[in-house]
Amino acid sequence: MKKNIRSALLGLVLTHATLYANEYRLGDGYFLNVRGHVGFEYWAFPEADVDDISTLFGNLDLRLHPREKWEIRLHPRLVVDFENSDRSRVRPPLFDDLYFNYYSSKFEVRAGYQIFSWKTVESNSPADFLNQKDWEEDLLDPEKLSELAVRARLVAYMDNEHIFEFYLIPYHRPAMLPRVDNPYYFFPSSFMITNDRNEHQYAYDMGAWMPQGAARYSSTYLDFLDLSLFYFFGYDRFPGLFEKSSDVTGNTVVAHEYRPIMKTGLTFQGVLGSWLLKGEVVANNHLEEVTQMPPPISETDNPSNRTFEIDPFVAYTVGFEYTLYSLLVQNHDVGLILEFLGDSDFNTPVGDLGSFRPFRSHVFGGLRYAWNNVSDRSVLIGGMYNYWEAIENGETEFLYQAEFSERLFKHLVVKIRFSDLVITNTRSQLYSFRDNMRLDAEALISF
Amino acid sequence: MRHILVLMLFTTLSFAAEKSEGRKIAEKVDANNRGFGDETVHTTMYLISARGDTVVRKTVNMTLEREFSEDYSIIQFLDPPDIKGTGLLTYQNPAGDDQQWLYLPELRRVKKISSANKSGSFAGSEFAYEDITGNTLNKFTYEKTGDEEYEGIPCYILTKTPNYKNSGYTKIRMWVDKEQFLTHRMEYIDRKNSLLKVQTFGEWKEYGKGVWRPDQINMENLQTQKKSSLIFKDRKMNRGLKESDFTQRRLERLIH
Repeated sequence: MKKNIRSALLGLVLTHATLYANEYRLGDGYFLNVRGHVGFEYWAFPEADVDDISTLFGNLDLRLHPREKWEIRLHPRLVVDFENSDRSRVRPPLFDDLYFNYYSSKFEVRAGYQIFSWKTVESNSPADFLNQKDWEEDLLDPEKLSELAVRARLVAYMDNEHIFEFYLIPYHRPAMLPRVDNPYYFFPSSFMITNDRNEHQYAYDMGAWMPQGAARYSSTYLDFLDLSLFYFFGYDRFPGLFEKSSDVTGNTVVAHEYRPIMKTGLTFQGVLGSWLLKGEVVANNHLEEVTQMPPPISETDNPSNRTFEIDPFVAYTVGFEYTLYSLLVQNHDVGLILEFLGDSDFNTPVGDLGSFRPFRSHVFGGLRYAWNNVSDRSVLIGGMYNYWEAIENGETEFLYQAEFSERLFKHLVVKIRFSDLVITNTRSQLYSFRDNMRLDAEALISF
Repeated sequence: MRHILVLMLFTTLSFAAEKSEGRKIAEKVDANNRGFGDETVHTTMYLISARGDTVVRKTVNMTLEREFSEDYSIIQFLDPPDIKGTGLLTYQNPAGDDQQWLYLPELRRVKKISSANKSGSFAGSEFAYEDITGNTLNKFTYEKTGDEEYEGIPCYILTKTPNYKNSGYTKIRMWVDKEQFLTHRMEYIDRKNSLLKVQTFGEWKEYGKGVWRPDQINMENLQTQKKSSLIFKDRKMNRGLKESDFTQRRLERLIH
């Protein structure tokens, strides 16, 4: 069965690889833009007792439009994991975008499945929460899942542009969490996390159909600072996990609980000379008590659900980026990034946090070396370090990654990545992943 | 003594007259660039390594002409395909650093970037950012430094010196034809006072009233032997573009 699928998909890859088209004219005044990519990724885990992962992925991005006023976008995405079918995204098909967009100089409305970005920082973004994430596909770097939403934009011109956005998200999309065969599964195997939405628990009777909303204002100030302010009401994206039942083999079934939350915050990015300053600050207020199971430590552990309040907290990431141009060699640039990640609950025990918040007292440092040559060769090195645990308790918690990428033959981009976690802090939410050193190789053909 | 003073005064006045003439020539060259209202053009960029390997980049460029040379522009990549849709929005600031935003379509993210590095390479080519994002008149001081024929065309030699920070050049020499004030050749002198690059222009065409554009621009780096060429096609002007067409929101859609 798997061989048949592989053969069929390989044929699809070759077909798509030759479809080097951009824009087609359809009838009188309508156009179709086509782009996409297919790729293959291989993950090896030299230290962990888990199978290597090989994944075929791809997407097709179609835009139908009459050049102005509106467009329809259809953007399906496919993921096939040859070893672990839980990570595959084939049935039902995934759509990163499936929307109608109307726009004018002062008003826009976009309705359908769509992905948003409020992100201004390079590391962990507390403000980029609107979309649910696919933690099951890659816990370290999850893809966003599209949300069914309506977004309206109103533009006011005074000295410059002031943008008011209003979001309505009528349906809460549940998270996809790693399940028991996933290399990033974070519970002992006798605890079975389920992603079945029929098992999930919601604080309100309307369940996943409770309307969620957001409002956002953005503009540029002092001729250099892009500032946005936002408000959100809806369900928290990352669930609490509670003991639901036991299955026939005696394993504990762990289901998701989604709680209402109010978020207010701001983001900024501004350039002063060669310095790029950026940051995000988000205040979080859970509106109801939460029910949650403490994380089990062993197969025989027997934690019980408990109900408690999560205190309001503030999460932030602030930092800067500085580029050194032609530092050592003409046209070779070095970008330096430094960001501080914090949380007002930085000293709270993980059992009282209520969700996955691993970066509460960290500093992120990154370096990008770009050759600025025709093949866009670059090297990225970055690391996240928990300075508070190091200072207070002498513990080590350092997550780091290196990546090399280069374009070959116009349509092919290759990447090699290495990531690892060095950790002695047993209280960290990342401690479960201490053996997950990972080597990635990826090849991507774009058209 | 009096003869010496007269001679010094005469030399000073002559020198001042040459400088003024340089500025006048530069203003006529600039006049050929301005008056377009707005402009959209498809650009194919050929990047040629020292070994002769060639890579192609394609972009669509939109520009809105505004007062005091505070133009707005968007450059959106069409090729190579993995960066299609990546866009650069620039608000020019003749008095200081431009404001620039980069749109990353895979992330749906608009990122602010620094424009302080004027000398950095644009898209891996031999064109620096300062070569592409506006040769605003007041960013240079001008001096007519000679007369010479270039490919049989009588030209002024105009030398311009950047008066803004972070330029990669100490001066730039231009061969400007005496009749139509079109530039045919430019030589870029780097910070070590060595000849770095030579730029030449293909056939000049007039678009509308007094607006001239070349159909090709070539840049050769004499120190690395690398070359880049820009070929322009489908150029349109005065389409009625507005400031609202040059916003971060506009970067999210494809440009045609």
